[in-house]
Amino acid sequence: MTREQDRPDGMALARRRFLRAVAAGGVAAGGGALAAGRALAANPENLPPNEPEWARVLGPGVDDRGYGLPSIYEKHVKRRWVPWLTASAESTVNFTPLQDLHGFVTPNGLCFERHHGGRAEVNPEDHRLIIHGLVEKPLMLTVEDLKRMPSESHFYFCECAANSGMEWRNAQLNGVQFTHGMVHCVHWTGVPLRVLFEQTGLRPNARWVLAEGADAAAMTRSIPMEKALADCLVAYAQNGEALRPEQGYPIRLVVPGFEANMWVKWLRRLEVGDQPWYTREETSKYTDLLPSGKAYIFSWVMEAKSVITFPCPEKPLNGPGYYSVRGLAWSGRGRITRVDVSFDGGRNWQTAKLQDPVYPMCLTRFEIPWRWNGERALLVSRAIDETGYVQPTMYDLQKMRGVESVYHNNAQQVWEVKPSGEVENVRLRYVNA
Amino acid sequence: MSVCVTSMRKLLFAASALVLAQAAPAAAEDLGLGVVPTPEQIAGWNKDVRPDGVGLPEGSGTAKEGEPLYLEKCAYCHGDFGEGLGRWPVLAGGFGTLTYQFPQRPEKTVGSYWPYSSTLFDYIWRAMPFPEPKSLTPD
Repeated sequence: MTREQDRPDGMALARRRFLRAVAAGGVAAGGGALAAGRALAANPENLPPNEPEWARVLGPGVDDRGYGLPSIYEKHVKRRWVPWLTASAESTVNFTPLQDLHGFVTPNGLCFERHHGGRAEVNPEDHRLIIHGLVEKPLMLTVEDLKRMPSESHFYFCECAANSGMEWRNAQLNGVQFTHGMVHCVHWTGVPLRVLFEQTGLRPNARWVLAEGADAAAMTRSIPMEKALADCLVAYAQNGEALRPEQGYPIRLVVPGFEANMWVKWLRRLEVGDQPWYTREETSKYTDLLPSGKAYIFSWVMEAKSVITFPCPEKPLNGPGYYSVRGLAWSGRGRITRVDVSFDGGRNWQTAKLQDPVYPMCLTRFEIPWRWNGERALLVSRAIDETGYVQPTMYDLQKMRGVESVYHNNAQQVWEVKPSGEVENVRLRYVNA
Repeated sequence: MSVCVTSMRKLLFAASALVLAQAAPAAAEDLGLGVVPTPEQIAGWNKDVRPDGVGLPEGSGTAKEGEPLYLEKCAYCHGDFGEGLGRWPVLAGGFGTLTYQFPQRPEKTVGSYWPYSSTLFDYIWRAMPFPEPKSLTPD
């Protein structure tokens, strides 16, 4: 795309055309599966009553792959990024392919990446965590020290505050990977901050913790001590193996339910203080500008949100008939208690089934049966969490927040299913609302 | 959203008494893991600066002295006048634009949006220039 098309104003159409091309690429790669549904095949010689080719040869032995890889037929399942969103590839984001995932756990290699100074490659032997400030005894720990300490393991979602941030003004990115892919959910293992502060002791005026990363950006965020002691972890493992470098290897902070920017990666320092530091990432960024010209600061909690991941722009429908409509819901305030789905743009709602397990501050999978009659439909989901909070419409959210917040867009997502089976990201206009 | 932020604050406030009781870990067993870092080791990494000036290093300078440094180290992304080249951040201007709504855009710059000058010093010292982080000295 040319520089002129990169202009943020008035070029929404060009952007959408670009994204549609990306989405179409994903669909084409999965085309074999779609074709199979229509009783076609890549090679009919493999179909019954014939013996398929892989049943007539020996496969590679166990030493072929010391670390397993996905099937060669799943190559389209990958993180993607949008080059025109940001000035550089080092300070930007890529997106989790939610349209290709099942259950609620995100595979380690598919967790979205958001770096501010590129991916740091840290040698764990040369890495240290220093805890200092308003503590009784400062402490410097190796990764091995941390692994010897009492540990906890929990599933938590991790969502960038800017997830869906491009959608404030209008429906813009035509794919669930791009509208909602700045979220992932993994099984974290690490040491509770509470355990670490029991070792250092805390002075009576210890109210805030500054977490700092060892990367080029030296990411720093102020975290309230109440949250730090409640449930934060210094994690060294995700989904049973060491953290991936792009997720902060060898250690990162886990701040359940709070915006992902606070989950400082490549964690090297925890300073305890009596007031926040007002770092760049909690003043100029990660604050939510309102129409009044004032902005919310320290708006940490990721409110209840949901999205339908099938069907979606990348996964169209293959003719009328039975489908399991599926999606994900989550809340930074606790458990999801209910997800409703509408097939007519929010006029009528049905309650979806939540799949076990339903954990607090964790992605929750929902599913609802649908017999598509081949007519145009408007699919919407809304999540409700254990506080009773209901995921808002974009109309209601804009009444409170305007369209320049950038962060914390948790509005309901609307997908238009066309008679062709294609699915498009659309925005509903409310008449007499 | 405002309701949520307020309720979070209230929640944190209400929790603080309880937490402070937990935070006195006198009875916690000393695991004997890790070492006490030296003051020099802490100082090498402890470069954060707060709005009240805590953490500011010794040193002095003027805008005039800074200009050649800016032109050499900053202008290749931010422009000679802080106008921002390409997609790189605009540093100057934007006053009075924060209430703009689509299709006008608020221009959030250091001047129009950053509430504290300490943040600017803190951020540049730790993370700028973008391709050479931690290469600048305070004086």
